Amino acid sequence: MFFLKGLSLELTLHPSYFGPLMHQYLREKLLQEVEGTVSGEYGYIVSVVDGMEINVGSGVVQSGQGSATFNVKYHAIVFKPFKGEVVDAIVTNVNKMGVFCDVGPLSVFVSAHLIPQNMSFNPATNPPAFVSEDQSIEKGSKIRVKIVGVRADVGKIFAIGSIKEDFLGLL
Amino acid sequence: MSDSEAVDVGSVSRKRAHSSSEDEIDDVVAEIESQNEADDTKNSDEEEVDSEEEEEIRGSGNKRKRRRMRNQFLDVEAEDDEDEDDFSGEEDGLVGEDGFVQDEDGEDKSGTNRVYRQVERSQDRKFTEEDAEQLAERYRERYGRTSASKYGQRASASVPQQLLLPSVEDPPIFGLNCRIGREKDAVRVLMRKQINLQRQNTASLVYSVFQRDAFPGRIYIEAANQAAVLSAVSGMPNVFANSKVLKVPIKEYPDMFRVAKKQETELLPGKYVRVKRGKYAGDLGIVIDLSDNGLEARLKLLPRLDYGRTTQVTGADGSSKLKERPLPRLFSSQEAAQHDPRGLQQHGSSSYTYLGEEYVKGFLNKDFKIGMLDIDTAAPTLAEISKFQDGGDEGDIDLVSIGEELKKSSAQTTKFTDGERIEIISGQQSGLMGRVTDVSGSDGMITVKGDRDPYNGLEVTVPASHLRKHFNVGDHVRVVRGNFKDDTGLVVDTNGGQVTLLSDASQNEITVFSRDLRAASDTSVKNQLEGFAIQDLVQVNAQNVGCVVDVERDTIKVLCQNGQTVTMRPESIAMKLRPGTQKTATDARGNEVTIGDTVRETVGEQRVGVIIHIYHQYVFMHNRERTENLGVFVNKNSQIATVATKAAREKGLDLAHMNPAAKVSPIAQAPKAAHFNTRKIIGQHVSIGPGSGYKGMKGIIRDASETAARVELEARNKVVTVDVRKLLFTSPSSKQLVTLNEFMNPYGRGPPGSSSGGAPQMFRSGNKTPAWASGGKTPAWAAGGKTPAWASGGKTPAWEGGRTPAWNAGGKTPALNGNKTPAWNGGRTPGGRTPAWNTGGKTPAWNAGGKTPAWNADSGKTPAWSADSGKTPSWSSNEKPEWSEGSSFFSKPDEDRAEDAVVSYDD
Repeated sequence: MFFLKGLSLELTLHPSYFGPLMHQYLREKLLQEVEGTVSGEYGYIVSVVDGMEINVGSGVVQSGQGSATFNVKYHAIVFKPFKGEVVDAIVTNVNKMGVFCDVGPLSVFVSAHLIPQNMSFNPATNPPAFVSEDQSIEKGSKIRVKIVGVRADVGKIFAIGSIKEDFLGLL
Repeated sequence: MSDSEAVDVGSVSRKRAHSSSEDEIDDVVAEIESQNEADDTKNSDEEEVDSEEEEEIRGSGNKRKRRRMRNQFLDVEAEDDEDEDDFSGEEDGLVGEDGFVQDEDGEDKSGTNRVYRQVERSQDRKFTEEDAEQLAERYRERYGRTSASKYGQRASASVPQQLLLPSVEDPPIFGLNCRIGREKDAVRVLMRKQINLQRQNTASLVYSVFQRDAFPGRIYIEAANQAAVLSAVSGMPNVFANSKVLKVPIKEYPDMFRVAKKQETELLPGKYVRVKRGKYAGDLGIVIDLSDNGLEARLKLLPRLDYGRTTQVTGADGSSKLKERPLPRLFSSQEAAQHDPRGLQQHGSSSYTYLGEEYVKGFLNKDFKIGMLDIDTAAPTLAEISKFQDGGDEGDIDLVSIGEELKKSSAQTTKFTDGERIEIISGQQSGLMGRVTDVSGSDGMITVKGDRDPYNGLEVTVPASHLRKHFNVGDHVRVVRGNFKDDTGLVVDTNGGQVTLLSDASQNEITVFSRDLRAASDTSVKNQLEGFAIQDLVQVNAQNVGCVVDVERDTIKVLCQNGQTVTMRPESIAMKLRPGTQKTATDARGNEVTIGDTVRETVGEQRVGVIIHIYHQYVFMHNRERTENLGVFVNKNSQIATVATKAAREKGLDLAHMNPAAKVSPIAQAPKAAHFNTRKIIGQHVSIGPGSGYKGMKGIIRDASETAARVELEARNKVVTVDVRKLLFTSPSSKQLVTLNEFMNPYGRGPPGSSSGGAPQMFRSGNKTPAWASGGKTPAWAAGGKTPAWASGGKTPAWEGGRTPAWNAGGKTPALNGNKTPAWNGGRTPGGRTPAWNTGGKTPAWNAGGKTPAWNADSGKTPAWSADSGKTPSWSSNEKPEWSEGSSFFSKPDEDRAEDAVVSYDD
């Protein structure tokens, strides 16, 4: 699910950057630092919303160093997957264990146990696919998945999904 | 009861008031009911007959009437076996007696009565049926909501059982010692004795005799008193009546008859058993079939064969046995054919008979007497099972079967912790789902609280053995025991006590028992064994490095640099290499690749992967989509090509350090002496400057490196090594002593343009072969220098790699050729060609317009270059002025050119 979330980040600025371009530096640095990262708490930080002001505030010079620390407040669009959430995904890999698919930055694994009984893995097809009488899930297919479990690591979120329910599966 | 070993002599005492087992009651009841049914059908038949014949035989129909009437009033409860027996036995004889009673009912009424009763009875029956249903409904309404009723059928079934428990009113049970092994005989003898006594109507007050296998050397007698026991066993062989007679406490009665949880294991195909004796003693086997009589089982075993290679020794008893037991191995038809072809017969593609025994798919199929087999405690290890897996293609390991075995072997109880989700799997509360609230109870009793609707909030205390951990699909769990210990993963399937999870580390599905799992915190620690984790770079031995691709319970699988995987113990790994020590390498095209880059193999499978480690020329890559070796593979850097550089390659701003923009560009600084062509100074006459022990001496440089020069001293016949920076060179222009830097970069000082026009200057530039050495300074050089080849100078492998010299590359710029082709050509030709030289002589033009286009410079340089190669007189000669002056035609155009150039410059 996507959220607009107010966040903050501490940035340290070397004195050589002090000057009229300081804010620009900080802004650039912020985007570099946070966009595309993952935090277990908030999920993926998809984008820093530039339109809403990035509040650099005023920095505090560190004693003995000359560097200044800024607490930059910003708003970002975050994507956090939840258990039970239904998402659309693109299949990236199919093997006998199941199907790996991507929901944007999130990788979701749909185990063969969580694929309807009538679909079975057919390694003979090219590319390998889970096939039923009228459907075939292969690399590149678009599927609708219900997330049944989420594991958040430090820099990565991994989820397992199910298509063994009504209205889920191949789109 | 049926499972106990009791031989019931109860037929003698069937009618005693109590019965210890429900089954018995059921039997009795069933008997009575069937009796009633039989009677009923008889009745209805007879009634029909009666109605037809009634008129004629009314007077004499006593017998039938009697029966009918009697049955009409017969109450099931009042029915007595004895009565029945009597009746059936003496039916005819009692006609008169019963007939009398019948008559008493009144003969007139008999007709109407019957009709009336029929109606009444049918209504009655209907009513009672309906009534029973209503009654049941009423009871349900009244009591159905109590919690006790929610426990399902077991609860309701257990109530009468409770009532059946023995009390003080029941006859006591006495235990007697008897000869061990003769318990059953004793019981049988006692039963026979009792039957005989009964026949003589002198039955003793013994109700039952039984023995239990669990208590060898004891029989138990249920009797009215001890005297009856003693009289029953008096004179009996094998029973020690003189020994102490033990009275079993009433409380222990039920236990006496409780069928032990550990039932006699039923031998079924697919079960794991062990052979007790013989060649295969202790070996694990799988039951594949049972003989019809149930005495033998056909097992699948790993054969222990040596194919007749070892001699057999004949024992003292005449039996031949092998000296050493061969190791269990799959049957090899080749070996058999090689060593002992006579005994070998083939039946099918993979089925053989060898020395009278059958081998299928490498396994021995052999019949064993069941007594030879250890059925209960086979407890197969995973290694043994996997051996069976190797050869066979029977599909997956039967986890259920193994699970049972393991459960038996290791009476490990599941460890429960507070808050864990559990499910009660046996006992009265079976089916309850909830959470553990207390584990501190004594004797492994665990308090759980239901949290699903029917039992929500219900708190019960149950033995741990009744519980099973419960996991939902999607839970993140950690394996706490077994082969996959410390693996974590997400649950993808649950099936009873088995849970299938997707391992975080390997992305493989593993199936384990729920009791071996624990809910894991969201952050998972990578699989580790003694500090070695998956994807670590390790030093396998002096020559080999490898990447850890699997961590098992006590072994580590390493993918070595040569692409082979080895499984080793952590102790045998030399060390773990610090990651990222070597961050970059060059790929097949000479481009830089760093850790995190996506690369593709240029040969073979063309696998794509992200670089995780670089070690010398070996690059370890990872691709999530590959399954082998956890997606890790290795190749040489010369066989990979970059596909995409790491997104993080753009290093971005580092605001915590010095602003690079504010820094003085290192390029602007004077070039370091470290980079110059040492050949340029070889052969130079130098003076040794201060700072050296040879200060003031003169000599010729015989050899040089970038830091030191070997100088042949003029004064002494000696070659000394001197720091190049301490040498003073004779400037070709000023004839002054200059330092190395100045010698190499004469144009570094002052604008060259300032000296335009001057013949010496012209000359100088012409002669200044070192011009080339001026590095990036001269425009000429800049022109060449801007090509990557030059810039890379001595640093790039391209340059060092002996590829086309940058020089040529630079020299071949079309601009140069286009404009000055003759000059160039001339330049290239060694000095012998005068015209060439003449053109080359134009170089001064360059000099004049120090900032003339690059090609000019190049031209200026051309002779220099040639000169450098020692082929032009200009270079080697010291009388340069003469040379230059001597060719008047030579200088003239130069001046023209110079002017042009200056003009253009001014423009």
